[in-house]
Amino acid sequence: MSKFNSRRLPSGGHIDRNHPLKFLFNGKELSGYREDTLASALMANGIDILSRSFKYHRPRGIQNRGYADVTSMVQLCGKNESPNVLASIQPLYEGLSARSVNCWPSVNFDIGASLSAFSSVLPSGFYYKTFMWPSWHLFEPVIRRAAGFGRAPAKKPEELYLSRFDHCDILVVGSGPAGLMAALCAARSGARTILVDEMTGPGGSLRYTDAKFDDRPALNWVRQVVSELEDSAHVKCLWNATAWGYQEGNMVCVTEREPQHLDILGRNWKIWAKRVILATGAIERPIVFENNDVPGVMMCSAVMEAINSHAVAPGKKALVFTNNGSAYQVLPYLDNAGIELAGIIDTRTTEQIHRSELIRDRSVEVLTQSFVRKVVANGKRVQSAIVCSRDNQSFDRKIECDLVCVSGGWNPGVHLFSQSRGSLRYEDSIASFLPDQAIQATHCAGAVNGTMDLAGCLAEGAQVSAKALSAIGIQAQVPAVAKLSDSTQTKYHIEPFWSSTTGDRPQKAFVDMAGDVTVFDLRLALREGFGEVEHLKRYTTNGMGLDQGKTANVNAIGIIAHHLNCHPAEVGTTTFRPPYTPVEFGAIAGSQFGEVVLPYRHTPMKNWHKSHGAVMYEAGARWQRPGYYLKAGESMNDAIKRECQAVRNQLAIYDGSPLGKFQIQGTDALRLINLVYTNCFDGLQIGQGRYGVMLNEEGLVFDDGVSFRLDDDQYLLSCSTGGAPAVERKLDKFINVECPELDVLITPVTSQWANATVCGPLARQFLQTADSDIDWSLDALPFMHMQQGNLAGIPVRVFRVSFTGELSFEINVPSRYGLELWEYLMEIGQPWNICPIGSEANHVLRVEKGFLSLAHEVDGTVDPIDLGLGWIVNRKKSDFIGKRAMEIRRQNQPERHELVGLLPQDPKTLIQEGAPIASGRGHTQSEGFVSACVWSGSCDRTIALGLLSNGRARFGETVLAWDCGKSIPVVVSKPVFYDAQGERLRM
Amino acid sequence: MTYEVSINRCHQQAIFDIRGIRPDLDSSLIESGMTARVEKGKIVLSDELEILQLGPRRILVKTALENEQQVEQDFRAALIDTRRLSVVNVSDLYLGVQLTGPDALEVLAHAVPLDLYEFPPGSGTSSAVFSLTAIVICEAMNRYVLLVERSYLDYVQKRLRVCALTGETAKWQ
Repeated sequence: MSKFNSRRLPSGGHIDRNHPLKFLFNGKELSGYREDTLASALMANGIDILSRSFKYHRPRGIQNRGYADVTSMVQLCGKNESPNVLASIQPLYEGLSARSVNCWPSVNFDIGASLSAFSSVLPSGFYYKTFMWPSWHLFEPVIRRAAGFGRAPAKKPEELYLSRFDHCDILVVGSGPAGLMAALCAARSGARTILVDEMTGPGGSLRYTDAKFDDRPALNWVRQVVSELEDSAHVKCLWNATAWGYQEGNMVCVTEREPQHLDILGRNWKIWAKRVILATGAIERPIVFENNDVPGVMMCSAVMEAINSHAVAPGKKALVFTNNGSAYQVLPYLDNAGIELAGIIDTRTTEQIHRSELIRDRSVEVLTQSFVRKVVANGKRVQSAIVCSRDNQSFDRKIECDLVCVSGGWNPGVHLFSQSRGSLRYEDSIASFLPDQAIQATHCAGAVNGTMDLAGCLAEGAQVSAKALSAIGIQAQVPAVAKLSDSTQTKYHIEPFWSSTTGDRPQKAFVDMAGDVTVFDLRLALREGFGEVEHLKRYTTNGMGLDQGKTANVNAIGIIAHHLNCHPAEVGTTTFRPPYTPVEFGAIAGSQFGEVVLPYRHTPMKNWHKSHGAVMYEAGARWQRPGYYLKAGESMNDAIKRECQAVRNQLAIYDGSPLGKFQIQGTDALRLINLVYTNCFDGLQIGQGRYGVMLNEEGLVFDDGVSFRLDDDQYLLSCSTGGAPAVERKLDKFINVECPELDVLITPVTSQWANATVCGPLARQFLQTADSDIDWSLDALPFMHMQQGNLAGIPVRVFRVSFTGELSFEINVPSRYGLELWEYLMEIGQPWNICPIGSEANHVLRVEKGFLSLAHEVDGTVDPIDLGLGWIVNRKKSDFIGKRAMEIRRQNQPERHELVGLLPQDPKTLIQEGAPIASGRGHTQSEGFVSACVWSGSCDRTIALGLLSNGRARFGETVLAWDCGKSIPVVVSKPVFYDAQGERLRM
Repeated sequence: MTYEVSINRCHQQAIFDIRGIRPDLDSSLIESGMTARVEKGKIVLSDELEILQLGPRRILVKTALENEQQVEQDFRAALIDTRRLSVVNVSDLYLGVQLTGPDALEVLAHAVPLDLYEFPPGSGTSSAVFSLTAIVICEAMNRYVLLVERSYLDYVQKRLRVCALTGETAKWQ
């Protein structure tokens, strides 16, 4: 045996000894074999301490199997760095590099371990009670640095995560004996089947036991079944894939790590199944005693796995401590590994113990009605155990050992069942919780269902699968159940024994190893009144961390019940929530990263804008529009000022494509429009448009826009860019749910049309020079009218609408022509000095006019009357959305925030949007806020709009706007600063 | 390993979004004099038109872009007397991306939450594609088309290529 692998057994195990692998742990080069986990390879190399614990920096090693081994946490290093990886589920590969977490300077000598000395002042919730003076925030960084696990990687991984969807008839979670039988039955019945297992290979408990089916190793049967499944075209097998969330709609989230044949880190699956079969097995739980966390204390199943699967002897002299019969299965494995048996400590009476073959022929001492009070460690590993009789607790006996094999019973893996909202019940015969009533299409089979014997699991897997298939109308082809040759299983027979300590002293008897929660913490929480299990969980964090209740919950409930002198069923259990195990953010994000985290919508003229200096902004609903066009040597303010001047004095053009548009058609189109707008659209002629305000059901302004009549029963409704998705949802709901009797059809057409809006006093003259059959004259195309025709050979719709307050022509073309139209207008506009403008200039111009903007003045709290739009509310109409709510509120709440103009006393002062307004007469209570404030070239000063309590009655009053602690005097005015009569836009 | 699939933009087509007030849209169309034959859930190839039933009250009609004006005129003539149908030219609203190859379904499963196994050739439906609203069409075995809002086309195409593991990831990180 090499200097490495000092604990490696010379033969046995499922490791591939022909493929040695080198890896690094804390910078030291070690070796292992293919099919090793990182945990088994470290154990083989004699490494006991993998990391330090969350709170007290206790040394922690391998204790349990798979995802239940929450003490085996390490940080994976290298190109795909990842924190908080459990060594017990991390397959070993060549070049793997890992390091311990939560320790400094090293895992063997950790300064933070000195915290243990202060543990009596660091119980659960200590931060609620201490470190309050002078401020918690003073201590928080230090405490956070001292606690916690791995560090989030600074760089993103080099490899990729993906996420995908799938559907199936039967989803089987778990590939132990019950799961394999269920999947085999489903597959042979022709059902679309997906089988997932969190381990790197199938078999569940069969991977580490010596069970035989039909006189052959059970693993042969496993390979045969899996081969059949993998060869079936309608079956998918996902290994190294954890089902971690069970959502509504029978949808299960699965994260597959390093999928076979794909060079990616992981893939998240959302699987919708007609039926889900949970064969999630059971997790061996610890017994709570003092120092039950030190390396060398391991679950019996973990010891069996180390010996049988990975050919590692986890110790030299073992003591077995149990309250149930399953622990006796470990004895032959200890023998095979040459591990001396120091004794068996059983909490049960002699009569309760099933004297099986496993102990009959041994000369081993079995101490019944006894328990381990504590283990003694040398700082790194178990050295001895102090054993005590339940009859005479004053009697202590010291037993030398370096390995304590513990079995406190088995916790069925009910997490997913609970997540599916199924109820749980406490079952005395197994001293744990079992699935009770399913809410979704869920079935349970095997140990998760409380079936603790192998033969029972096999039979139940097939039966449950047949039942599930029958429920979805598939005739089940039930496979023959393999015959168990020679059961080495012992009877489970458990007598609950939760803890060796009462918790009246601050001993290190851990209930939740992941969160360093002790029995003392539970007692403290009970003393402080947190007797309800959900409260106690939150106060102590028991079962909240990595453990997620896998090993900690049932023990905690048992301990609480003992202290409250009640039955565990009366204590109840907490709700299990996803994720069952930690899931990388990358796996959830999938391919949605980098520039596509949130995609933008672009107009066809995007590239032109960018190449002409446009600074692009999001204009709502993910649309990108030019904010302003920078010229050489210009600041942003210079550019905006120049663009505003062009609109007011000459000729400008902007890209209005993102404006929301809906085509509405049907005999009830007018009725719909009259219902969604507050004003009346009756009498609108074909080719004519009208401005309207839309309210929500609460009678508050929701959106606004102009609707044009295109034909007899056809309208084009426009709305704000940002509001378009919400308007679409609202209209859809209205015609499908609230008024399905309406004969009306709505087609969203926002992206169908590109828009170039030509505006400014010279706009008409300019367009009259274009190659077009449109009559641009005022008589032919007055304000709020439209025409269809051709411009430069392109079919166009021209609308006379203005958002700038100037003469304006909105020219709409099918999007494919958008760029062509834009370039044409820019080319013929050159002699006119046509100026492209962005949304910033638009904002200034609309503030000058007092026009509304969504999310500025329309903030979800105002009705049309508040905004000075009382004229647009047609009270004679029998109904419109929000009418009744608005009228009722108007009767009861006379003083409301109203739209006003605001003029800072210092005409150069800009006020931040959102700045609160107070009356300034010694009152600092907010009476409104500034919704927009800009520098107006037309007014040669700053101007602002705002919502002010009873604002229209306060014109001329001076109030204070509070901007970052400064009070700025502003005079309340009418909210229109430019062309109050609207003559310019009607030219 | 990469998936065996090619992901390409489709040529722009003329597309008409036809919605009916009555749930029997197909009979409404036939009554209105349209000559195209409609089978529920199937694309029926007439000489020039592809008709795709998206639901009981909605179909899409696709044709080559050069036929756009003619087909629009035909619709107008055929539907002049009916107010039960709405025909909207949405040729510029949607652009298409096509996935072809043995792994087309596998790659598409990264984008579309539908049960693609129960999505026979010739069928189409409105669905989320990378959480965006789009139309998914199964043209044939191993050949799918996604019609997406035109400004999202690049985005959808890029993400599909990443999911196909074509090695283009680095370009857009």
